[in-house]
Amino acid sequence: MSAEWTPDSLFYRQVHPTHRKDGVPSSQAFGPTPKDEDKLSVDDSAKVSAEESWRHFTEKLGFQSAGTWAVSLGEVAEAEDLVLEASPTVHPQEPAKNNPAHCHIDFSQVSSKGQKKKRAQQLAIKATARGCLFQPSA
Amino acid sequence: MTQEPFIQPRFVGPRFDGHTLPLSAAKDLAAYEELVLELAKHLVRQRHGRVKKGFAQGFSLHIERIDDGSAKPALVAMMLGTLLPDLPAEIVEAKDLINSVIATEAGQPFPTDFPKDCYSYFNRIGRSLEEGESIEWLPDSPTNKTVLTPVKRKRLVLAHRETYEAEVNVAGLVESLDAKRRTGTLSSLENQTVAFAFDDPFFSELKEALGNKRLTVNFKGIGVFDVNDRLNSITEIDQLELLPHVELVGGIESLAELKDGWLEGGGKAPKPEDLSWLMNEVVRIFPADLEYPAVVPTEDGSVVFEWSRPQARIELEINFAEQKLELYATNLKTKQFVEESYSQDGWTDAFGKIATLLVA
Repeated sequence: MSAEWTPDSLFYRQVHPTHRKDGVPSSQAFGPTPKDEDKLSVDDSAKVSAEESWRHFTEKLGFQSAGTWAVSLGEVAEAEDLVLEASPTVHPQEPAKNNPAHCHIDFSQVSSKGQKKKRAQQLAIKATARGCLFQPSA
Repeated sequence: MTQEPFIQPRFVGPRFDGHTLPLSAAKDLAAYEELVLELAKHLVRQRHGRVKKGFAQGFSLHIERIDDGSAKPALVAMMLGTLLPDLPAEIVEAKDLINSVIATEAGQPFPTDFPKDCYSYFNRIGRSLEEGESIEWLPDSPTNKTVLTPVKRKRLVLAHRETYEAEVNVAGLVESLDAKRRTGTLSSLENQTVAFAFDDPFFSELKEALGNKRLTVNFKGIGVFDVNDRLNSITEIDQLELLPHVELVGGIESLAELKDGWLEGGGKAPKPEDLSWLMNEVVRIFPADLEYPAVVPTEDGSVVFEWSRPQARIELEINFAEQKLELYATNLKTKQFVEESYSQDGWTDAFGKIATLLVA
């Protein structure tokens, strides 16, 4: 965890279009999936804006996102047993994909599927209350 | 007995490749027959002031055979059930005049001797044509095959009217019914209110759907459209289908578009048979008074129903692989977390529990 982070520090999360309905992001977008190996990717708002985070994800990495939502470090801590870590990505072959702002929320200390769901739902509720921070124009 | 056909149009399109004609196309030809007769009478009236009693009495066109390529029905002229060797001149002129009208391309003037009232016959002639299909009225002509397409048919009808008729396939909610007049109004899925007329056999189903926001009706029939292709009314219902929970079923159906790798290169596409089973289950058992959830795919090919409240999330995961229903619910206000599992047919218990959690 970075020493510069405070409980109010925000971490951006990109949400797949199928994981948003009527403007509300699904809990699915805030829980790690098997491909994530229990690590949920987020971007540090101290290093990129919500729009830059979305652009990197969609334009550099080529993935789909309906927009940028965020959770705070305090909310991650409140969910218990989650660890937020900086994990800048480096792609030697494709430097454009490098992401110095990349972090992850580590769910590996949470053992059961149900408990992971619980934390994902808590984060989704908080992110929904904060609202979408960047949404591409239609 | 064979005779030179009165006319032998060619129906063009994949539907006609089997050298057969759908019955709906026969309706087009019946309307054509009416127009020939009406136009011939008009021509007689122009020349002689009146139509003699018995003129063309018993005149009719019969389909003698259907030739190959795509489908070419040979229409022969009959009079009182007997083949007609010598037709009244006006009947032949009417045929030629109709061909001239159909052959008129956009921007060209229509033949002046074709009466304005007769353009409305094109509401029915060619109405069975679907997009990409056409009727060549003179298929063997080297210069002008006199092609009638859906677009041209619309132009002919609108030449002297503000509306045209076409086949319609529209879904919506039944807003009102007038049992005496056999009419009603439909709120289409595009939020447009459309008046409709119906026949007795459809009354009980329409009554069942009346005012039920979770029971959509789908009409196939004849609609009246304005020049901007806006549906004004439905004048005839040929088929009616009741579709329960369309919004929810549609949400599940849309997941069929997902391909493997849909989620950042990972993500299994749900199996079509799983989605099909789920849609049937929803139609069969989704409670009438339970709020519709969001329908969300999971990375491993399952589907989640998710309900949201400002302080709560409720997920019902339909776990196809393990054939069970998994309920996870978090409420930050009550600090309650619920985790329950049901067998794949445990819908009633699962939905009952969700209903209580939604009001917590």
